[in-house]
Amino acid sequence: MSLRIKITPELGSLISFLCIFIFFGVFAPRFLTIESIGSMLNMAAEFGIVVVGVTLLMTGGEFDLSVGSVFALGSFIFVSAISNGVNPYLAFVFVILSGIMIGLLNGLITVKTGIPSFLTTLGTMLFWRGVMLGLSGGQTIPFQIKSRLIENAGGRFVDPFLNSVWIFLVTVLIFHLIFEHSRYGNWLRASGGNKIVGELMGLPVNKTKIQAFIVCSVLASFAGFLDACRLKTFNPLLGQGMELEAIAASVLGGTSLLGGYGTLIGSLFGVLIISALRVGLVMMGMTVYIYFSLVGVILIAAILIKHRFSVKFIKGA
Amino acid sequence: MRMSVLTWLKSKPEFGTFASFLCIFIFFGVFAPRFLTIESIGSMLNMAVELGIVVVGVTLLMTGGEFDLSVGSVFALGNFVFIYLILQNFPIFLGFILAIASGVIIGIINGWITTRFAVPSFIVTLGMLWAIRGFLLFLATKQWWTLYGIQSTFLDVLNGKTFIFYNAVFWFLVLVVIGHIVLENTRFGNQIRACGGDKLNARFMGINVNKLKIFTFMLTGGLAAFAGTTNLSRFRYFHWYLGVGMELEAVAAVVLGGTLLTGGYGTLIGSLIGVLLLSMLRNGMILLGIPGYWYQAIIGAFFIIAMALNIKLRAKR
Amino acid sequence: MSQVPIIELKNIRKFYGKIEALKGVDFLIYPGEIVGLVGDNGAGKSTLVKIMMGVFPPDAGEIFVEGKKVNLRSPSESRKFGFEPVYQETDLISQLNIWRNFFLGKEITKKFFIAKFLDKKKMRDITSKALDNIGIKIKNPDSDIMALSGGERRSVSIGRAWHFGGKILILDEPVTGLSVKETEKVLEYLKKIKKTGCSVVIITHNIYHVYDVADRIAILDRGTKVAEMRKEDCTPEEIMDIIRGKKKIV
Repeated sequence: MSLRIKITPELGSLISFLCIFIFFGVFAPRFLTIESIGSMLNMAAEFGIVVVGVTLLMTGGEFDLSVGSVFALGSFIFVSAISNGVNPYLAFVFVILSGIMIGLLNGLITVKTGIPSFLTTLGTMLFWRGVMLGLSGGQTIPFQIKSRLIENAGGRFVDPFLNSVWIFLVTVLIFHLIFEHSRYGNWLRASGGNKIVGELMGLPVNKTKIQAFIVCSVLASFAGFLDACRLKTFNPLLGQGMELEAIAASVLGGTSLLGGYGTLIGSLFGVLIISALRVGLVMMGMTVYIYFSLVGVILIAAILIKHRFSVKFIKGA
Repeated sequence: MRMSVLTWLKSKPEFGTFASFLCIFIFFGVFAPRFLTIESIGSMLNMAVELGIVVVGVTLLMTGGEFDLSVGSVFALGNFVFIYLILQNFPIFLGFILAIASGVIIGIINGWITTRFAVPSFIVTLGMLWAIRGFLLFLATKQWWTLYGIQSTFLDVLNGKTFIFYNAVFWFLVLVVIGHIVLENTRFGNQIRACGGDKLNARFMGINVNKLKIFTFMLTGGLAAFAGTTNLSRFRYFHWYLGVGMELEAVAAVVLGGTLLTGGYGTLIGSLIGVLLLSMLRNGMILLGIPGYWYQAIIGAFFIIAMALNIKLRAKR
Repeated sequence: MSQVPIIELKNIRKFYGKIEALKGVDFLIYPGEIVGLVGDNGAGKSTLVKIMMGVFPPDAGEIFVEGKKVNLRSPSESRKFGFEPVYQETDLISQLNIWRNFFLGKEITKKFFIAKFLDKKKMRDITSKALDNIGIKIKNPDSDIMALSGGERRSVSIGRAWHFGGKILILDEPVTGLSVKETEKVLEYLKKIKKTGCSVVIITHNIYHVYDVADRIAILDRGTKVAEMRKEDCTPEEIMDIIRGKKKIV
């Protein structure tokens, strides 16, 4: 009996993460301290929660470019509500409801009109960013309101980890279970893999997709809420460019751009790769600007490596 | 007779965009003061050109079934190379050629990686977007880049003001006409469509798909850099932030015009209308006195409605 | 035959606009038989089958299922009677493995606290067993669907339709594009399925694809049934002649 390890995309992203981690561990002083790992995870958490939703949706064969705007809108709704005297818990409910509504809208437009979701959400990305800018007048809104909810959502129970780190990890775990061990996960993959066949087999393809749109938007606005609680301010520039970064993190993790295959464990490492790069480069004393270039190069390298493996697999089969 | 003209118009895929263009034009003409003046039309065109030149390349590329998300970064790169070489006392014309060459080289790299390894251009060019942007951030944020005090006939010809139009309007229109003729009336244009429609069939028809694709990537990169040089000769300064977000704006303009997101069909006249539509919306809103923060929201909402209309009209034919 | 047919279609007519696709066709299927539905393109084969599948209703005519008159209003209704289509285009999703495809839409779950989880072990076992019953050997139900050959893939979808209570499997050009060896395999599986009492309708334009396995052959031509015969009573050449219109049978 021989032990054979199938190189899955998750494993690929784990290996690349470890390589980067070890590289910085060796070359960046103080990278292997709890503080530095903490800041790596803290940086990853909010973005990571958004990536979970994007991964889900991409598995279902759809894109969401509006996540960056929805992220900012979530922060804006929470901050402006509590600044106007709304109870923070109620404000939180508003945030989640707005996420549900936005996701439903994205999903309904895509499914009913047949506009590719890439374009639907490009439109809603502009729309919600504009609404948010229009309502806020482009101003940052700081606040000083004290509340259990805000302290818990933006604080840290265990130094140096923000509570959002735990929320992120739990989110990954829950959606991993849904992906691998539930009917919904199966249906979502099928819907993304081949919509027509899915419908032939009697799956509610459109409903499944709309649900994924909703989850994606809710997670994005929830992450915006966490951001507001952490920074105690709203910034209208929040989340710009996040849509493409989130897609990149998913793809780094092994999720297929074409739908039908996705992995949340992979996405977790995809997100960690990006934030490890950021923290590690700073610790090496490099300017943070080079970080963008490196993410770009690593993204291209990752897709090339993945391609080589998959070609071998097909040839071998 | 009049009916037949209408039927002929309706048979064109650009009809939907053209109709919405006319509607909005009339709307602003009636409601926005000073919209129907030559200055306003001039500024509408002037606002459109840089994006427009980029869009010419992107249209050809998307017709061939590929994406280029790096155009915004290449646009900035064109700006940067040009200003850098001018400030190094290079002959301006040589600088111009080298700036365009930088875009062409990026295009070749994008195209080569995409075709050689058969990976999605979406990811390759997304990586390139960050790679170039990071490079520019790294190099160009240490000083203030301006051409203040430099006189040059070449720059004036490239993008000086004639009457109320910047010269780039002229280059833009010439490029659209050339591109239109190429796409509609040449073998090359036909082959691009074939590649975007069905790569395998195209290969069987004896088309060298890879070569063709690399060429369209090259063209897109070159045109994006050219747009960068015209931008520089108009504004005479460089900032690293130039062209951020341009990639999605270009995609929006192209699909507004009727080009398919999935490739196989493209129209440059449509793209021309798409670009003008976006800048007309902006210009009209300024003249209507709508606060600038709301522009994106209106453009986003309009975009979705226009796409739904496009799809409806296409289904009717 | 004294048996009650599973499905009986009487005097079915269907118009597409002004074109009459079916001009009053009778068609019936008994339990445990393989029927070949043969005809050229445009003969009305797929229209007839789509009516059986409940994709659209006939413009005139009656449908009886086990002797009772019914209206088939939707594919899911038709499926409740056990009419399972196996589509010409492969109806498997390449990104999912074998058991996920096999159970797609009919997943078995078990309750764990409040959540329902997939019972993977059970589904793997059933997949292997079900495929084994009709003679398809697969090493591992977890392997990629793309690792199977074209014939095996088609067999998996046939096996799936059979397993989930299909009384009549409707196969549209099941062996088109397969090699001779693979064709034989697929037909072999169909014979095994027939032995379990399940009926099979094979739609094809090529009589040689069904002649080996079919018990009965019905021939459609431009919307009418021009002939119907038991296999013993005819040769493939005769049938080809009928299709080509050289020979008329009263």
